[in-house]
Amino acid sequence: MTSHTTVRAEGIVKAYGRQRALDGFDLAATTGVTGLLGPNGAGKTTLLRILATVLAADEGSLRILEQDPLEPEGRRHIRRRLGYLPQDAGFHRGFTAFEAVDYVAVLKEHTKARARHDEVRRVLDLVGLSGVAGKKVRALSGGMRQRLGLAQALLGRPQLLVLDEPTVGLDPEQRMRFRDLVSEAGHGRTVILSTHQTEDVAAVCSQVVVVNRGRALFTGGVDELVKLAEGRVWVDSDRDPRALAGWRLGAHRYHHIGDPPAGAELVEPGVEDAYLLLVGPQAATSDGADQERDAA
Amino acid sequence: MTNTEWHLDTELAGRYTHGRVTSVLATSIEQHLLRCEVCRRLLQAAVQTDRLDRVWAEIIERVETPKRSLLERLLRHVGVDEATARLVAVTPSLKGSWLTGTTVVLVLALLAAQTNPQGVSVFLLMAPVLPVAGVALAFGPAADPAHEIVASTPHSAVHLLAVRTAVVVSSCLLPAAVASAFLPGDFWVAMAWLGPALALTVGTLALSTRVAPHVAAIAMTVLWMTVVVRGLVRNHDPLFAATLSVQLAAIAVLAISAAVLLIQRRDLGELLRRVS
Amino acid sequence: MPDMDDFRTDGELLAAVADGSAAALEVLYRRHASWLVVRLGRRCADPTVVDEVLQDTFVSVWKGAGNYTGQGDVAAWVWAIAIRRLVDAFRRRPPVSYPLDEFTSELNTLESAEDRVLLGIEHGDLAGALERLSPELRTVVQATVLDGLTTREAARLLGLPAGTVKTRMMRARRALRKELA
Repeated sequence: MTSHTTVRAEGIVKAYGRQRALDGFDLAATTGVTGLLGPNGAGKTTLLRILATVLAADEGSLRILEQDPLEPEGRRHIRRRLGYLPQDAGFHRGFTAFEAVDYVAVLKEHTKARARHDEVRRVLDLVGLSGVAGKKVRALSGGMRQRLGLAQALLGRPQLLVLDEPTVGLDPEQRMRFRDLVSEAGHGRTVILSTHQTEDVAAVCSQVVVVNRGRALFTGGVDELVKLAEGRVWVDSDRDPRALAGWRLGAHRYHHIGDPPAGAELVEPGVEDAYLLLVGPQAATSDGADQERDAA
Repeated sequence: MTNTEWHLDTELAGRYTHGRVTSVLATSIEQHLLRCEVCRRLLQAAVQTDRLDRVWAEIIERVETPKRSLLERLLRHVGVDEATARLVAVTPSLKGSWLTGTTVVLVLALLAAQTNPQGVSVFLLMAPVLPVAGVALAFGPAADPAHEIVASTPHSAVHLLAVRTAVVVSSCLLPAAVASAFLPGDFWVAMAWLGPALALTVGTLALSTRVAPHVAAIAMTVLWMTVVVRGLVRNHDPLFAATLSVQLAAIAVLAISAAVLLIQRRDLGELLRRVS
Repeated sequence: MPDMDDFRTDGELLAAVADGSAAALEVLYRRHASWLVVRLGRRCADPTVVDEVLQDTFVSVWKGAGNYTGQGDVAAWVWAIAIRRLVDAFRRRPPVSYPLDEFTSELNTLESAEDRVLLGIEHGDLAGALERLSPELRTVVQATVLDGLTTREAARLLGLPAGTVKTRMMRARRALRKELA
């Protein structure tokens, strides 16, 4: 597989008033799945909105699909090859699921009615919503609406998929299905997603970018990220106050990260450990690890 | 049930499928098939899957395709392409209660005009504001919950804005025009709302390149109300809105706004998106 | 593609269709389309017309699923729709020929006792009686009695004037009554 750079961003700055949401962000993404991992307010959504061409960066250079998003022609070229799931994707509540996706398909220049309807059905089927195509958006559950957002992003098999928190609101089974979908989409195409779930990253991403305070702290493979935490994760029968962070695993078993004391029982690190070591223990991500975590 | 003893076998099913049974036997088989799921299943392989898939594709297209509204069919009839008709038909302000609101306001104004000569001024004051409200509701982030997705599509925002504005404006100019025909007094005086209506609408669009659409709409409405009410109070002329100076001012606003839109047409789409 | 091993009965699926489930409609379609195509094919030689009728039938099922009372076989209910859609199709495009009796003469000797068993079981000695009818009377009986069409519908299906169907039906009834008496 020849992998060319789909997205090349250098020194991207975006400020809202005095607040810098992005502060010199660098990103290079090729075919495959790139996951942005970071706490709330790290700048993930701002970056994804810029990549989706709905927001213009204040500074920095940006090429998407070998085009300049600041040029009207380049922008149109990008938009024709782009699928975008925004955070809190909304639809008219009076639309049926079919109509909601059909509406976006019209805007994505699927002008032939018949072929467009077939495409709408294809993406609804991909996300498992065929059965509720005729139901009104207002009658759909949160998870279903999230999948509806995903469906419209998949219209026309875009070369670049930009997904903001795609797994929010999905139950475990749907999340598994989503991972399959994204892995498949990542073959020969580029997927850039943001997530709170370190498990999502471990499961589907070929590249991880750890984001904090508008900058990329780490860019690389999942293995490389995990390697950062090697020798810095240990378990003990009691809580160790010297650890950077620690949480309870079970009776008399506590998981710790930080600088281990001599003779500590070291264990294999995970994505979550490496992530916390990078951004600091305040930036708790996945729900599962939230319980009983202490900042030392 | 009488079908417990006799069933088709694959050989007989094959003969029936290929029409190689007598009509009497065929009739027997057909009566049996209505009752026997097991034997129906024997025929499952009789028809090629891709043929069934083809027919199913036609069925699902007829079954699941959204129903066309009256407006949409009308637009198709006058030659608007399917995709554009769809976009117009799903214009939020057309789906909502806005059209009803327009009609109610117009009827009230009409009643006022019939019972009270001052009512004409109420009508002349209100009618031009209606399309402004419609336009403000027809686009912008508040109007479309999918605006963030819409903004990332290649479809021209100017085109979308233009078709929606056209439909919204004509959909409320039409009842207003009908209403004005029923107003007492000179027909052309009653039609004097038309110029200001267009001026306010296009003015709202021009202003929308700088501020959010609903802010633009409110600004234009307040401007209009202030000018007319002040004129009414000072000049004691119930037909103040129909005076030459107001009409000329409206034409001037219309011309300037149109020029602004024309100059910015290249970036209009992005400007409209950016205010979101 | 829906799960073909759907555990729901036809009646339950039809209820789901009435509720607006296109997925349930597809399961029903996959279960019933094949035998419908074969049976329609015996009444109409043109496969394009058969496909159209199949399509119309399931669109009608979609629209009319709420009319199913829960009484009787769903298959019979669907067939009643299909045969009428076939008549409708012939209204648009008159039939070339009614191919029911093509093989009667050549195969008559091939099948005998075994063939009659089924109709014998279900309808007394109707099979024997039917077989002894002339082909032209038999097709009329099949269209009206077995496919459940009205005289006018049968006439359209068979491409005959309604009067002819009526007289043939009277002759057939007389003959059958004599046979089965």
